Amino acid sequence: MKLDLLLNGEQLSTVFQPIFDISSSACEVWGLEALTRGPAGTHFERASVLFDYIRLKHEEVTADRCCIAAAFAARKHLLPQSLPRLTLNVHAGTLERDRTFPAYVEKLASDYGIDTRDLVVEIIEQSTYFDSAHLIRALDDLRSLGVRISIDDLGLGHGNYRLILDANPDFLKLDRYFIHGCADDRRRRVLIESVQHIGVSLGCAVIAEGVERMEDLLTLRAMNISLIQGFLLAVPGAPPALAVPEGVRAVLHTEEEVGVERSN
Amino acid sequence: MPSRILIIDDEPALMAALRDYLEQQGFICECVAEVAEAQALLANVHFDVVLTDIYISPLQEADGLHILSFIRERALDVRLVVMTAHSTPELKAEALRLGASVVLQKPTSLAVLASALAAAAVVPA
Repeated sequence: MKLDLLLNGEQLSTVFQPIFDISSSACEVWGLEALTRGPAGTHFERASVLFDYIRLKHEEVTADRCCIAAAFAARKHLLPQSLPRLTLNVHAGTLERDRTFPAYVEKLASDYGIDTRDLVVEIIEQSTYFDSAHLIRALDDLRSLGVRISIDDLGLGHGNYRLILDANPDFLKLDRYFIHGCADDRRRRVLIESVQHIGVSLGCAVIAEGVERMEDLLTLRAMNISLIQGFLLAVPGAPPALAVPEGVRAVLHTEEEVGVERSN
Repeated sequence: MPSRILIIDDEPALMAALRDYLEQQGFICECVAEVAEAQALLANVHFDVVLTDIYISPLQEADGLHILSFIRERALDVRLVVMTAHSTPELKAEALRLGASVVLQKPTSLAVLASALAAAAVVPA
């Protein structure tokens, strides 16, 4: 399949995976991450193949625009309008090179009746960016629209501390690589704690993704990380489940009561 | 378990014929006509054998060698069979240096090709 056909908006579809706030017993949806899939039945249905291909073709800018358009359309048709924020993955290279990206987002959001203050841009840094000034300017323009900024896959690949300084993010998102197994691995917990410490010091909330095990979820909660995403809570869907499974909620509630009793 | 083959060539008719024949022989085949698509697949999906042409249009550069280099750089656990209509001793030597098990001259019979793939599939990478 040719790239220009692939990036036709109708070829791409969007699924959404909720991020839950487990700080209260309600475990409400905090936001929904838009995840793009290529055409069903092709190699590109798998997101990793789709985006590796796009990056190999150096078409991140075009692809990011197409993915956002697909996400906005899907949000309008699939999700209740009352839902909270929508998070969008954007390559650092797009923020660096696409000089009209913030205006594009503003116009498209307006077309779909989406309040830009409900948007979070998750910066993906799959390859290093060179021009900090343009990236910072694009982020400032997005912020002026009320868009909030998150760093995706912090600590993985090119997702590095330089971006924390340049992007001045509102959120730091920890990849599954660091999260999965953290209950049993002190080294993972040390790294998570260090990011949590950075977040507290800089005023950024930490989001943990890839949570698949109850023991990891309880470990993260004990570390005061309350924004959680992962298959344990909800798989990506169109539309996705918008409530934490009752079994998970029950364990969280029970553990909370045990904690209160212990503190008494 | 059937061997999974990734076929990289820019001739649709040839790929269709290869796929039909090889699937009859018990292989599972994926076909792509573009180097970047092949690389994206290889980075995310396991194949037992890659069968690649060397010259893949429209660039007409030795793109098959790029595939071989890509696999070598990532130390992917996959065997390599190369076919080309423009084999030179230098090109063949370079393909073998980059990890090809065998370099076949196009045109070659489907039976010879299937035999080379079957032999490559059972040899440790």
